[in-house]
Amino acid sequence: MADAPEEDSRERLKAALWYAIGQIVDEESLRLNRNATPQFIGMLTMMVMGQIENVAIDLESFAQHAGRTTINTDDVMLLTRRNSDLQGMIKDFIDKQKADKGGGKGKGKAATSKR
Amino acid sequence: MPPKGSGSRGGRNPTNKTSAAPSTSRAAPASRGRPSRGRGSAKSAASPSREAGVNVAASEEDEVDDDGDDEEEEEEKKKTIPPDLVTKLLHEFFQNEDGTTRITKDANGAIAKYMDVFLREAIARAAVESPNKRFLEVEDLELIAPQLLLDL
Repeated sequence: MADAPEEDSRERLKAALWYAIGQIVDEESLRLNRNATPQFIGMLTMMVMGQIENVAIDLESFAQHAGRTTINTDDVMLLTRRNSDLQGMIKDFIDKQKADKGGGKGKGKAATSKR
Repeated sequence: MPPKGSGSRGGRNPTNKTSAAPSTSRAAPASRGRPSRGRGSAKSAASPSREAGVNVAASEEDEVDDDGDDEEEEEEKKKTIPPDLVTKLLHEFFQNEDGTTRITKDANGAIAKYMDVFLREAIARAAVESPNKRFLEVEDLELIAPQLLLDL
């Protein structure tokens, strides 16, 4: 069991992700007027985990290809190259993040407007 | 490994049914998802708001406001995957043996946003998959997983 610590940390990360996803699912299911089964959340967690794994490896490769070891926002934009709508959303988000940082508080997601 | 598992499971499921069922059901979430995503991005360009990520049935957003909830929570009405958790997960999966791969804060935030979009899109498509059911179930997710993974 040489890889026991690594497995352990991965399990704990999964648990943390599970919790975070559960929160979002609760929020969304309230909005959609549905309930989500625990298995649904579990499988979502597996999907997101897998997607993060792919994303991590892709981003690392993109940065490496550009001769860097630090991933920056350009690499993230490259990640979204196949979906122009997604590209627009992420671009907006990055621009907003930059603007927020320039203008004071650097929390990109803490949008203010309440509809 | 997880995406393959979910993908193969998603692939296996349609074969159990008639061939007509999966093709129509797959067309439905795709056509629903794409234009709405466009709408979301257009809106966020006009007036930046957190709804950019949640776009399917964006009009329903108005009904669910947080006035009934705790007011101290209004700052973080939209929960997201915590960026710190995303950092940890990414570093867990980086393959560079030296462990020298780093990530800027902005990029990390953008990835958190990306995963947020991914997650909410998955939920929205699963919900469209079975409009008349009370529960979101694994089977709904299995049906939408292959196309979702291709789209995002």
